[in-house]
Amino acid sequence: MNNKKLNRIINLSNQIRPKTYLEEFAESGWLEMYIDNYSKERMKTDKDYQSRIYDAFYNYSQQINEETELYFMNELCENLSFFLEYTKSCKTPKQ
Amino acid sequence: MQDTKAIRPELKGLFDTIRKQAIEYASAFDDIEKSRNEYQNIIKDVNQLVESFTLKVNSEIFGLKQKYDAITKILTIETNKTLEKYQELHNLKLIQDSYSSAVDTINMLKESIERNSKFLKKNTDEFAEELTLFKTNASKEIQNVLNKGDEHIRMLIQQDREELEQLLASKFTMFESRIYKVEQSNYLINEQIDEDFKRIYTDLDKFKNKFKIDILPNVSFSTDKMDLVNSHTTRLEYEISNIYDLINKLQYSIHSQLEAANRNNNFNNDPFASHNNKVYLETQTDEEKKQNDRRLSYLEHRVVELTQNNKIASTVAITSGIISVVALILAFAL
Repeated sequence: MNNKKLNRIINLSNQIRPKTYLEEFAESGWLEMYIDNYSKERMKTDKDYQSRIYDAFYNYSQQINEETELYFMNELCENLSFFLEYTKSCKTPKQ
Repeated sequence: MQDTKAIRPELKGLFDTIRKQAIEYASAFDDIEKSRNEYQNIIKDVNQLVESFTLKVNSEIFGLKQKYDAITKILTIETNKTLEKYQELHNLKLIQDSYSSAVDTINMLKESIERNSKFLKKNTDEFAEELTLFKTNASKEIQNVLNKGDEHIRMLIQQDREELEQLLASKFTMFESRIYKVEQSNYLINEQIDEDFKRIYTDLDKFKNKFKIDILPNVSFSTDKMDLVNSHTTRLEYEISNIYDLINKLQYSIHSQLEAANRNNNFNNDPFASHNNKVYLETQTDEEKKQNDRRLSYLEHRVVELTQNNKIASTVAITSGIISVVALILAFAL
């Protein structure tokens, strides 16, 4: 219950807060060009920046972006692999 | 957020299903977490129980161990006591066995002593018989040995006696021959001395007569010389009488020794003389032998002395005769 409230509060805060320039670029369809021209190297090195870029794509892009799909698919795969790795001890019964 | 346009709807549906499954997984994991916590609590309780039980069991085991040690000590003490009692009983049993064996041996010794006493009685009787037999045999043997020894001693005495008799006979013959010679010489000397004395006496008588009648008032012949002559004549007479006495003694001793020898011979030839008399005779014969030897040596010495005395007497007589002749010559001359 608390988690749900916390998520609703976070959604509300996201809706209330002003858009960033990356989000503006993503909504206007310029972010992909911006990344190619200005922050290609940073996208490769800065993971936080990368997640902010793809969040902006996910939330404000009006077009389908394959890079974002691949990114989230990779994230899902990583989470699933983490899950599998986390639940691996449960699969093998204790001796 | 749900109506994003950056991802294709197929992927979005995939993500929705994955989300639902994740939610279910989360609920399942919550249940699992709850059951896990419950299990952990149970395990904790069980562990506590196990620990408490372990402690209890350990304390019980420790108590049991202490009880076991105490019981073990008591048992060892009791065991030692029982062992000591058993040892005492064993010693008593041994003493009883030794006593019974000693009683058996005493009985056996009694029986053996009785047997031995009977055997000794028999043996003493046999020994007494053997002893009497041995005594008789020994007395016989001793008698035989004594007889043989007596015979042997008699034979030896006889041999010694015969040898001694032979020696005495030879000595007697020698002595008789010597005595005969001495007697002959004495006889000759006596005769000569008698003749000389007769002649001297006649001369002296003549001289006295002549001296009284003619010469005495005139002759200053010293009376000392006459006294000396008279003393010599008296000494000469005295020596002659001594010589006669000695000759008589010598003849008497020779006769007595011959008679004793004859008696001994007769006595030794007596076959009925006892053994003690024979032994005494044997010792007496030795003593007599020594005595006879001493007498013979004494007689020989006396014979030598007598011959010397005879020579002295003859020289004195001759000198007195010469002196008388000289005195007569002087008397005639003066």
